[in-house]
Amino acid sequence: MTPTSPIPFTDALRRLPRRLMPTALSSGELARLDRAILDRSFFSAQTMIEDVLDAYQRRITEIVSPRQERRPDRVTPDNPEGLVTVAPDLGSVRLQIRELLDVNSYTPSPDDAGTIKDLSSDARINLVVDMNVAEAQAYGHLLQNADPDFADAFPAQELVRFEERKEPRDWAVRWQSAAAEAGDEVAARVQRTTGRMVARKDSGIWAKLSVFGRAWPPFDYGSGMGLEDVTREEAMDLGVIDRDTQVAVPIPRFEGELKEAA
Amino acid sequence: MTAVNVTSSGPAARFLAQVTSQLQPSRLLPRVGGSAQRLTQRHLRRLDRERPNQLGGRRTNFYGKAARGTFFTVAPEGVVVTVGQQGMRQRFAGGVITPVKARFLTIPATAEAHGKRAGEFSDLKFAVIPGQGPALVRASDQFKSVGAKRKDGTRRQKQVSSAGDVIFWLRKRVTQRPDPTVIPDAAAYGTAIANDLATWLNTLAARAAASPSATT
Repeated sequence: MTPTSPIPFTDALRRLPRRLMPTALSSGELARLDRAILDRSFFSAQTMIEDVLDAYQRRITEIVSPRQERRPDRVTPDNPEGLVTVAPDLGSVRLQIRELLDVNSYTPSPDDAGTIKDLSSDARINLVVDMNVAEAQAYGHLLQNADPDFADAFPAQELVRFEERKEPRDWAVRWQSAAAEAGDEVAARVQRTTGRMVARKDSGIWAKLSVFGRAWPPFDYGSGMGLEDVTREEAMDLGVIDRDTQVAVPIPRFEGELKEAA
Repeated sequence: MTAVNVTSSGPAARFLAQVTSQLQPSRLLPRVGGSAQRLTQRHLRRLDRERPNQLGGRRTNFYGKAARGTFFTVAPEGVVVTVGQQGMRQRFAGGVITPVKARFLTIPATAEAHGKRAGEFSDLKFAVIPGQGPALVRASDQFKSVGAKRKDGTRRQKQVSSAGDVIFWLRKRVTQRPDPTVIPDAAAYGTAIANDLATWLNTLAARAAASPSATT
């Protein structure tokens, strides 16, 4: 199979850019803010330096939608144009963020140094990048459901592991609790009887599953979980939906907001 | 001998019209794209489970991230599935890699170097290792704080590497072997899409048969 030229993930880019929101608030304090404000802003807990937020957002945009370069030294029979995908790697993002923090005389407190609270730590920078990239990509996937034929063919989705973790969370317990909160008894039953976390795309369980109140991943900090589309026929076999019911997937829109604010 | 007359306005014709209206490329291709996207994501998720970093250490979850960045687009000639992850094409097609901005490529030699840039280390020195070539090595012993804080506020120090340990090998070029297994093969796409479409057609046929306009 011969690869073709990649296409930009334009739907994912609809989550970027967002308004920069420098803040001294901790993640716990941010969680108490209005959801709508958070969804429309680019921020990181206790990050007051706007240059840092701006650099994060630029690099994240480049990772979500890598550009193609033609490199004569990469021409092969399978790649006659010598196309190379170019996007920042995490290492170069970490270097840039640390440089900006240095310029702004940032020093972590001795207790925080090296931890997730240290804005210059690997763990912190990786988390900010990974979370925002995954969120934009998941939002791009959510937008696919705006096509009624797609939503008709794949009316349900399954919570599955995309990335391995040393200490995975107990998502089955969270699933049951979210299903109870959302009143989705079918989702609860499917998990109890099959072990699979499958629900209709328009179920309230998705937003209840998320510590951020959003119906798309990531559903928690550093989570390795994501969503996989489930066909109508498979969802029918699980008793999640019938043959004819159409789902109306709620899709919040963010695009164009920066222009309106300018 | 007998004969039946199937008219163009009868129930069978209306049934066919209902089914075929769903089979227009613009309506069918999102289903095809969804199947191809799902197959690719499943494949990449499996690789994420089965292929941890060869050097050990902290995982970068390259394939899991690639799965997150996989999406499909309906194109005039069909469907394009894109894996929007830097490094996927290189893994798939292989080939020679040469440095673009630096003099050398830095090849991780230890678990702690995996997924890192040499510039992230503050204590590396250039050295030529006899028989193995140029490298970046530790200039001094490295320690890491481990365990709970003691009464005096300090933590136990564990040595994680010694002066002289090779952290990165430096190379002018490397040749990567192609690995077509990083994405599903054409047969797998064909099977997955055909199976999904077959069950979808059953659903469409059942809907059309149940529709009042097809039965009256």
